[in-house]
Amino acid sequence: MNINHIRSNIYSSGYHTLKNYLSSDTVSRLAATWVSMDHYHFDNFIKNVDVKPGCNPYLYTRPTPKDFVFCQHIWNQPIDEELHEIAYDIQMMRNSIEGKPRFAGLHECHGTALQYRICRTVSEHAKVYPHADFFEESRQDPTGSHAFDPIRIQATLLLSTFNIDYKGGGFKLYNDTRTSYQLFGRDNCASAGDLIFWRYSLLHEVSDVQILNNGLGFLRIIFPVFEIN
Amino acid sequence: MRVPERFNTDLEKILDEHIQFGLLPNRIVLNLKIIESAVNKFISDKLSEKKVLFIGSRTFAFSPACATLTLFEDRSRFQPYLDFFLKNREHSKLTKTFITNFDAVIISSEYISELNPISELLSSINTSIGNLPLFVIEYNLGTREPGVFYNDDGVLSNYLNYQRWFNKNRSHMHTGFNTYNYSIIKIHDLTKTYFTTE
Repeated sequence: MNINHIRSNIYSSGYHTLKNYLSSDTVSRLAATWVSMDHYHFDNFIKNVDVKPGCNPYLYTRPTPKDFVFCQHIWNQPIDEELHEIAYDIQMMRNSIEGKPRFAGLHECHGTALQYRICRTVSEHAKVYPHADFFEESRQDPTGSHAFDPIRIQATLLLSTFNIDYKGGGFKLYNDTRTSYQLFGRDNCASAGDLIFWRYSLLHEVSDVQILNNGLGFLRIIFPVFEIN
Repeated sequence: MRVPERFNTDLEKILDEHIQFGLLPNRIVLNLKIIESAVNKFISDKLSEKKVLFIGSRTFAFSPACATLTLFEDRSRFQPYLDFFLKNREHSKLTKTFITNFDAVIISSEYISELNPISELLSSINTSIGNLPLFVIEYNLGTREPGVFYNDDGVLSNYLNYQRWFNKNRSHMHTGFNTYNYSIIKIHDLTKTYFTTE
């Protein structure tokens, strides 16, 4: 992994894609597991401000039961050990890119904790509204301070592919001037198995997803980090 | 890089320039102008008419009134930026002959903490400064317990070594020493003849 090259892409252009980070077999296995995941392993929705070390994994579905977000914490007994391992790997890569110690977010001594969210969007009216993180925007339910921090990056691991599993919209990442955006999979070659690191302080949204071929819809995993001290 | 409205638009250019040369847009870069302003004020107020050497000057472009300032920075990660924007910066000679050309030395705590404790450069600094007025700058950008940690640049920083160096330099100051506090930085006066400085 060429850290300088990845940093240059993220902090200049807004994102960097690691193509085929996961094999197609792993993508298929993860997608099948999580689309059919039993809900009783998960608590009901917990607000971000109520996430504390030791709290259980939780699930919320909105606006339909098929639009889900499974939230697992780094301290939870993993229900999917392979995914837990993948989350560790991605967090350590992100730490290297951000110039943080590799264990940041993975041990309580750092004061931050990784959560990973398996998100599926199948409804056209399901929406993550446009917002920018760590850009001093007010938050009703913050994961911690949102003071301006242009170093911060988010990771999105794609488990489905534009124009195969869904069409119309999906993950939109705006440019610095907010005059245009990249729709991943349509405006670039991102597809299932790819890992995207992107600058958190850029405006972004998920919208206009239309499920295709009775398929997966827009299935992805994101990796928020919580302040826990 | 877009910045929130409350920040000066100059910051966008500052961030872009640092990113362009491979530097992280960290808290020191976010506060670059504030730190420059504080150091300029300190030098103008306390070291007026002096020839001052600043060791570990990163990408700062200080411009104090009424003093001659020489900036020294030899850390490789800053060189592409400095070669492009600040070509006149010293980065190769930190010998006793060089240091004793100055009336006062300012050194950054994060520079010391990145030095190997047995490095020739640290030895050179320690033996060359002698009785020159010596000031140490610390950045107030989040509390850190003493230790070895990745600093804001993503570089391993040995703050334990810095503390040992600091304690050695202040060990004779039985009545304390002066510290000048600014919003982002504080500056300790570690001049060996400390009782005469203020």
